[in-house]
Amino acid sequence: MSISAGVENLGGLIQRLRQEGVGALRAVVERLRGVEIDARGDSLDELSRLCRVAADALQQVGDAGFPAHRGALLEHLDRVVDYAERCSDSLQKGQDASALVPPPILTVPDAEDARHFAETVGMFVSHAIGAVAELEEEVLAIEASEKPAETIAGIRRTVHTMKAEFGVLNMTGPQKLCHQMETTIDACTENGAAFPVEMMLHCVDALKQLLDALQRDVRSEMGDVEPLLAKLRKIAAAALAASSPETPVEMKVGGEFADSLPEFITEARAHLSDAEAAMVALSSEPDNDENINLTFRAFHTIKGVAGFLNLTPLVELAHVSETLLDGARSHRFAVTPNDIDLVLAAGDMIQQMIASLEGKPGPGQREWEELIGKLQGAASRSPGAPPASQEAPSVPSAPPAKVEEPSPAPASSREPEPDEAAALKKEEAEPRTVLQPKAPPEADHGDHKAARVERTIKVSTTRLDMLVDMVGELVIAQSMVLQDPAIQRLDSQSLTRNIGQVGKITRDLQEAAMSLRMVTVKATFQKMARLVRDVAGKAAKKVALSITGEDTELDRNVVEQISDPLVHMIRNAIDHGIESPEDRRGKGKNPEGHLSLSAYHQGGSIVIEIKDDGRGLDKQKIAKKAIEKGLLPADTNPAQMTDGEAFNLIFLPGFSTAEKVTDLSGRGVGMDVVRRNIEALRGKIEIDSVVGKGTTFRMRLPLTLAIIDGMVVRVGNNRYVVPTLSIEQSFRPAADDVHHLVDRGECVHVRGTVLPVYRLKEIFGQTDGLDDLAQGILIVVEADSQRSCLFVDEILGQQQVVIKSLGMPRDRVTGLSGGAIMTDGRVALIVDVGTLVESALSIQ
Amino acid sequence: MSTTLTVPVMGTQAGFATGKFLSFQLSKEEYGIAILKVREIIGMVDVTPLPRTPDFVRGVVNLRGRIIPVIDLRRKFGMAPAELTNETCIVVVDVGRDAESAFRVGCIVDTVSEVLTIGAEHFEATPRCANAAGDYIAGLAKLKDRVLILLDIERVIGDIDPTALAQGS
Repeated sequence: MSISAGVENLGGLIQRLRQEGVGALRAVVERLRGVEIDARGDSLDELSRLCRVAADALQQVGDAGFPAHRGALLEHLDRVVDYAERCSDSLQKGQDASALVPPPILTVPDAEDARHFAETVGMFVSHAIGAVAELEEEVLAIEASEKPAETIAGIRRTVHTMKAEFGVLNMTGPQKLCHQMETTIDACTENGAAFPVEMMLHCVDALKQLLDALQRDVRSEMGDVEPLLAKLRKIAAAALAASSPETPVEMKVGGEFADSLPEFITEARAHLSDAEAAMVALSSEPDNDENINLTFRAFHTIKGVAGFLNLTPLVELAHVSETLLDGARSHRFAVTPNDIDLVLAAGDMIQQMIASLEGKPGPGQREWEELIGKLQGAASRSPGAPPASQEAPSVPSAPPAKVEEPSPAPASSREPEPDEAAALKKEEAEPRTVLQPKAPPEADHGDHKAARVERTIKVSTTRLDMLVDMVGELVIAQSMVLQDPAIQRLDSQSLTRNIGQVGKITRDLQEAAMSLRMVTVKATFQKMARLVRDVAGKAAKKVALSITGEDTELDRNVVEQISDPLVHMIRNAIDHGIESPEDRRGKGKNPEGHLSLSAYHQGGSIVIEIKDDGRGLDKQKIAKKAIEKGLLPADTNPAQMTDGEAFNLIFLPGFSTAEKVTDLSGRGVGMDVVRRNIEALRGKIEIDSVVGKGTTFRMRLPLTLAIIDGMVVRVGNNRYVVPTLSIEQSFRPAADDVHHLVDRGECVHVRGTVLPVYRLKEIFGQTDGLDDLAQGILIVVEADSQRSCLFVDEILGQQQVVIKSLGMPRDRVTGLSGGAIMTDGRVALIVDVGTLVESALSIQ
Repeated sequence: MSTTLTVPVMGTQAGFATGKFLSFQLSKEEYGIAILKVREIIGMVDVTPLPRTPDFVRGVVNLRGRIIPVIDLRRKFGMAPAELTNETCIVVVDVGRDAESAFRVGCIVDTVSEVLTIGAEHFEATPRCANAAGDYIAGLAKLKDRVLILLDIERVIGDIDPTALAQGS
């Protein structure tokens, strides 16, 4: 066959190859081989070589296949045919064919490369199938996600990685799709629009199909991605268009109580759900005022707390809702279903605002203004006037803006995909605002917040106490097992080890359970900061407050009860302690007084210290005043009193050194209250003071009310626990130290002082127990600044015990502060030294 | 005998008088406590005496980590003390009509017998009794061969308040 016939034939075959694909491959290869031989015969070396390379390449296509190279190959073949035609033409015309410029020789990857490629694709596919499945999961999880921003970032990363991989493999279709997905996600997140969940799922499906196909055949190609790309672009554009007018309501936590945000969030949610239930109930029983009252209270409380947190938009919204509810409450107008809808919408928006504090998208500014307007409209209507629903016929329920304004508002997080038609309409209706400066990146702000908000749940203290009780019981049960003679007889190392392990876990558990009730003193201290400002203002003094150790933790019950004593002490410190700025200047002090409030651990208890740099306590003056008021015998010599004795006088009821009673202090009630409160907490108060330099009040408090350090003592067959805090010392008296006073019981000499002796046996009416003082032990205790001795048979040891109620009605038995369950499971009674001594006195 | 039900019985609600009762022995008599008040029955345990309380308060015990007072019904009703036997047990009851006054008390009894359903037909109003238990009886239940004394446990335990005792002594 002449070369011209061969070439003509080849052109037709390539046309077939284009149309029929692989089916025509063999024929093309054969023809190429034919042309190659003919060309060699005609000494057209270039053509012959081109044909050989092309034929080799096509053969490999048959073996492995390169979807990515197919186009290039076909183009090359066209060029080869073109060249071959020109060569045959010039041959026929008798010209020198070698003058013609041959097309560049196709560089064809060899079979090795082909296999390598197939492997790479295979690896990519198996990896990508996992990635796409993960992607799908993430997209689906986004609505339920607590930190959508993080999830979105994850999705974006996955898409980005896939884009790069598609790029490496020269798969332009999927690469473009991934690129547009990325762009759209960015557009949505940066502009606060909802994440286009539905659309992303479509894309994920397309990718999945491609991967499935690739798994079957590495040469598969993606279908037309253009429709998907167009949709993605639309969404991105809609998000950009929506962003500028719809800035989210600014929610910025501030104020001195910003730390109580987690509590606010949990509480506000509880209030809102109550309010919602009440409003829903109201629609079925419109005459029940309690429902309105409940809702009113809920909004009112939220408003109050939000005010402390400087959440102005929330406060305003709660306020107008309250106004509306107040109108209904006072029967200025009847409640219409529209009102209920509005209040519910307000509740929903507050929910969203709260959610935005946790990093989720919040409601839009315009949405917020609209709702406030409607609420105000409804609240200000006159009784006769038609309900506001007539003015605004389509009052939205939740979320408010959706019905009237179908924008993909950030608030509509529940509606994953914005209505496309609406988005489009919006796009047309409003000029493109892409170039306008964007709103501050709300997502970042949210992220930051979300990281700071520690999630808390509200648990009733009863349940906590129950847990602590049960753990306490577990500790006892554990030690009972350990001390069981049957166990102790066993000589097994593994048993010992296991029991030790159980013991350790039990102790850890107990500690963890106890820590559940611990809270920091921060909130209390912060309240004091406010108090200092107010009191200093009233007293016309300048006072700077410094707070340290506010993270110190105390039992919740203790924290609640130190607030009152603190208020009294701080008032006193400012009113009496710190001098007026003029006086201070005169004394060469800084005109601004300094007050420091600190909390720290010391030897198993917590110390709270209030220190001022004021005038200090004047011992002489206090003693004089006490004598004046008849609190001390008239012949007392103040010089003989110790500082402690003199300072303790200020705790006496009715004592006040103030010359005149002000509205701040001076009635002589304060310090008495302080001491009583602190003693009720089984704490102690100490005073240090230097005249002219200042005064320090030191409250020593137990870490928790639940546990005390106690001395376990025995009287007859009974055990009692005496709090270590009240004990000064213990000793066995010598017979001649003991004196019997006529009608006044007995007393004992202890280091030069004479102390009354009370026998626990007699006070508690026991028939067993020792009678001879010299055989037992005397414990020196102090209560209400009075020292006395308690007589017991023996001291069994010192131990931490969990204080429990005796379970008696009114929960008070004189002389006892409760019971403790000892390691043998029996109950020991805990002695309350204060009331015990009091009652002992009344018996005598 | 529905008429007996309408007679106001010691101020107790009519609902109290019928229903299921836990019967137990004290001395030779058989008593009943409304089963709804009974929380559980535990064996006798070591009781820690509680000073400065009425003498029928035997003391306190550890009920799985919770301390509850235990009263001696024999002593309360002025009966001779009994020896502890294997059958002696503590009936733990929850009393108090609202959350504020609610508390849990153990009652020492000689032995518990069974749970009985007392209907209106068994019920009979309290005769005036001279003995100490008289004030605490909600009514009598006449069964086939015996009589059950139904206790108003709220009243029995209402006396436990130590401050009330202090005034009395």
